[in-house]
Amino acid sequence: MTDIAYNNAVDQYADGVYRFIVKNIQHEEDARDIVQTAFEKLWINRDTVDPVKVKSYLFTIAYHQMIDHIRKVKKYTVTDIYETSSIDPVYQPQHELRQTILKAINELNPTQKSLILLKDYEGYNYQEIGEIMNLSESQVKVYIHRARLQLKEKLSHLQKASA
Amino acid sequence: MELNQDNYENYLLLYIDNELSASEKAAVELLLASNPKLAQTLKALQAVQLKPEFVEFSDKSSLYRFDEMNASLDPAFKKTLYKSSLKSAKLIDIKKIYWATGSIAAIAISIFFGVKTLVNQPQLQQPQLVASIAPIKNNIPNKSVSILKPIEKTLSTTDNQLNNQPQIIAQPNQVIADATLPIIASVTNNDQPILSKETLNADQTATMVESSSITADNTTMNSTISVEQKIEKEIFEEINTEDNDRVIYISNIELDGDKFRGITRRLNALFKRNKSEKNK
Repeated sequence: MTDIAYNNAVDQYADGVYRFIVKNIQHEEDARDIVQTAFEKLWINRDTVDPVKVKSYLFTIAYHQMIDHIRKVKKYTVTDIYETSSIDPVYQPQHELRQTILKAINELNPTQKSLILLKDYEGYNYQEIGEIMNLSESQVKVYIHRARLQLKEKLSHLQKASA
Repeated sequence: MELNQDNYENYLLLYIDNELSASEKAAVELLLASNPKLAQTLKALQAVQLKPEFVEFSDKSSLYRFDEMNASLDPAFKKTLYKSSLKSAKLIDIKKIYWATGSIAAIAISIFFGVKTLVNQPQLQQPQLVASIAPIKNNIPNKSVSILKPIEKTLSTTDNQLNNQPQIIAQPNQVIADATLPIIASVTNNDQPILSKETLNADQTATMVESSSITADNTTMNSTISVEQKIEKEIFEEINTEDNDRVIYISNIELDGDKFRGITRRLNALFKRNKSEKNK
């Protein structure tokens, strides 16, 4: 991997990796640190990383960094960081549907959340997600389906409540 | 796997995740067209899908890497920075040589000045001289006995004179007595011819020494002589007169035994001269 290819990777993937992380951990500064670490590792291993798999390499590194980060944060916080958001089903206006979905996603467990983010934001297929998250393809499929049905139930419940 | 009422949800999920083959996709779309309930379910599932949104990483400049960051030195310039351990080793050797020569020179000068001051103040310097030569004694302790042997041989040639010194020889239990023999012998051997040629007074002093030892009336004279003899004995013990081993070591410094002996001989002569003058 040449220096130019590396800098191109920064242009192409930095935003995506950052979005993936910041949507997961809801903390911009920590997300930036994780992105920095991911690109640092890419730079160090630029000679061994397959140029075709640069994107998935970055996401893999970032994902595992994030998991470590979540474990560390959980050690020092009494309340789960994902429990901070709560959905009020009665007073949700329709134009805030998107925010409601995001909040519902935030209430998923970290693995389900990462699966949804990688699928919907990055468009990875099940196999690629499995490689990034160190899961089998069938596990990815089952977890994503479960998460989607869970979200659908939550949303329909909210829509019924607001109706 | 065939699409039916039981597994349609699974197919719809795979459909929205774009995980179906082209034929499967076509089959789902055909079913959706004919089944509004399925279409509604699909809509509900699509509603919980996240729509791509643009989130910018604002600090991209911190991620870029430029050639300047990989600055490497010109190989020709690099060569000027190389250090050879051989060069430094040579320098150390030269330094060692300088130190060694310097220390030898310092010792030589100190010996020279020591001798000079000894000439000027012989009586005061005598104990110091003994002290300064003491380390030599440590280096060659076993050879001190052999020093006396040649002198004893010369002693045997002067039996007539020795017969005139019964008191000293008649003290076998005293170690000093052995040492005194050659000294007095040397006084009689070496000085007598010289003194007889040079001055009458000196000759007289020599005879005085003999007479004093024979009669042994003057005890004070005897005691002073014995003290001097003790000192001189120690001086003699340090000198190696063996032909094969005439090298003297002071710590790590090697000295020529012959030259050193020459110095001590001169010192000895000076002592005797001073002694004779004193007696006079």
